[in-house]
Amino acid sequence: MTYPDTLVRGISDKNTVDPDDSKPAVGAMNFKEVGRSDSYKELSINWVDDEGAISEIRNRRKENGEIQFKAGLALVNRKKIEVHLADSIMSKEFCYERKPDPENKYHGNLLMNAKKKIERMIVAVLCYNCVDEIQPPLEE
Amino acid sequence: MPIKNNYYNNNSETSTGFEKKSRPELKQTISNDVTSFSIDDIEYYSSLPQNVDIFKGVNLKITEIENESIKKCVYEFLNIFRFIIEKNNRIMRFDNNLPKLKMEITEDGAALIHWNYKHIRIGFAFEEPIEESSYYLVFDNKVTGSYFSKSEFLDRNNFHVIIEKLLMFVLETT
Repeated sequence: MTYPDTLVRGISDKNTVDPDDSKPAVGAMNFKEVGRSDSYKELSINWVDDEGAISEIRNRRKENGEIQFKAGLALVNRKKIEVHLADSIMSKEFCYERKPDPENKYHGNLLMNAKKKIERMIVAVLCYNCVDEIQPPLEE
Repeated sequence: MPIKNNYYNNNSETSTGFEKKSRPELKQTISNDVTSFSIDDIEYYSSLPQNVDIFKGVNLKITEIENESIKKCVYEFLNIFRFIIEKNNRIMRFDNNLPKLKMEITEDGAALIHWNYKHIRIGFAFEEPIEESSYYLVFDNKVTGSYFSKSEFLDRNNFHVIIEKLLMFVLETT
């Protein structure tokens, strides 16, 4: 399986962007327990195979028509993930996958199965050490 | 209600060396109702010089912590942190500006305190149960290319040792 160098995470809540650092706060990367058979928690992302991946997530709307990611988009550098989370990847506490669905061919997940103290650190590393930029949301 | 901490006035300690000086006894006469705690209400905080007052003017949302155990633990932690800053400032007279603390409350009710400075990220996670609380240190110097990260449990009985070590690390490497 091949992966592009960049992935994008949508941010819904303006309170989860740190204005001082222009980095997402940890609340923007909240891994969810979804009952997977492999016990991994998921964080939904788009793989940036082309510009369409960013366009898809920027234009995504909720059922009521509102823009879903009102606080912007975090562009995450996969190579930095490979470097900074090398130990966690090696120990299989952290990994990622493609999981395209009929409506979004770019969809994938970051996956985590770690003790809580490791989980807190991994999320902080993702937010502060692996995010290259935060792009503004679509203007309504 | 202002806090009066007897941390430095407690002469009943029997331990020796470093721990004797910095082991917190936490006999402060604080309000029992910690929900009324507000960082700006503490008289002591304004006595810290501006450049080392890492607590003031930041979003330490202690009142937003719903879990009472976590709230007390955070309160205790900040109190010890404050005394360690004060003690070290008396000895070393910090010239530099220490980074401000920031707090986030997670969806699962944990309180996360971040201390970010240049290429150092330090985080303290106060969890339920308290025994699962932890801290991490991420060092990422893009100029030299050096990087490391570690996480450990945050032992409530060792707050003073952990904070002092991390403070020294920040001062020595920035």
